[in-house]
Amino acid sequence: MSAPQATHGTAAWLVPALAYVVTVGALGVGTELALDDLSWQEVAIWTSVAYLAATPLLVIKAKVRPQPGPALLAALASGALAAFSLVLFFVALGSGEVSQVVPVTSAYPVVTLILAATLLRERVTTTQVLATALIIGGVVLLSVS
Amino acid sequence: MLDWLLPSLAYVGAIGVLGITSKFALRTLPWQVMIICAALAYTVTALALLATGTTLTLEPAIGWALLVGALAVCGLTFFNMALERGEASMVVPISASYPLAGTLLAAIVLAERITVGRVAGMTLIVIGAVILGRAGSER
Repeated sequence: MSAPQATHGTAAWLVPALAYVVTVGALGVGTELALDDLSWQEVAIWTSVAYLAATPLLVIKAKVRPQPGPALLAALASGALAAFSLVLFFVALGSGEVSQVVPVTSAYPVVTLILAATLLRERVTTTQVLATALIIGGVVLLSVS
Repeated sequence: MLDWLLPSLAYVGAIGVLGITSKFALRTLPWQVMIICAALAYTVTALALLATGTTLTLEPAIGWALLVGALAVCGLTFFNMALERGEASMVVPISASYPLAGTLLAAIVLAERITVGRVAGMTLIVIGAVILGRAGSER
């Protein structure tokens, strides 16, 4: 297993980040359609089926052989957080309105900004904070409108 | 109120930390490992749901659910590719703008109305994303 190559330049991270935005936007629409006839638990189970289908491809084609260590622990924590957060989101939606839950949950970049500055020692500028506030404000407006 | 607020706040914490743990892992591991670890976690979740009484129904909507799963895998892949190359404090806020795409697609696919408030929300998101993109290119 080789370490990822460091790639610099805005496009290197902005293009996949925007691809994520479109993909997850489509995921939201797909979830809405699936939840017309299925429970969120069923959607979560079928999501895990898709992950399981992708895993052998990644292991065989990319020749990925994870080695034990702090990075693998962090990767496992990330996986657990991803799955756990999906359940939390559905539990919140089960008791609250979308217009209540989405504005609150959209605040997560604030946590990332604080932890990125303190734990990862990333430089967080006033411009970044302002831009993040605009995005969160926009999401809040979208969900309450 | 606590019924929805507590899991919502826990979600904020979980996703907020996810960007950090992922960035830390991606300093030495390739993004493929992140997908494999997510698959492991989702499998545990699925088994827990099945063990606690969730039954699978054979509805045509399974097709949508599988599409959701495939999009989730693709989404996480793009997220990790972005985090592998950029800083968490840039990638995560930009990634948070996905409701913009969701609103536009819902208008196209589900014929949901785009109100003035939603246009204002989308405008704020685009302005924020453009500012972040420009800030990234100036580094």
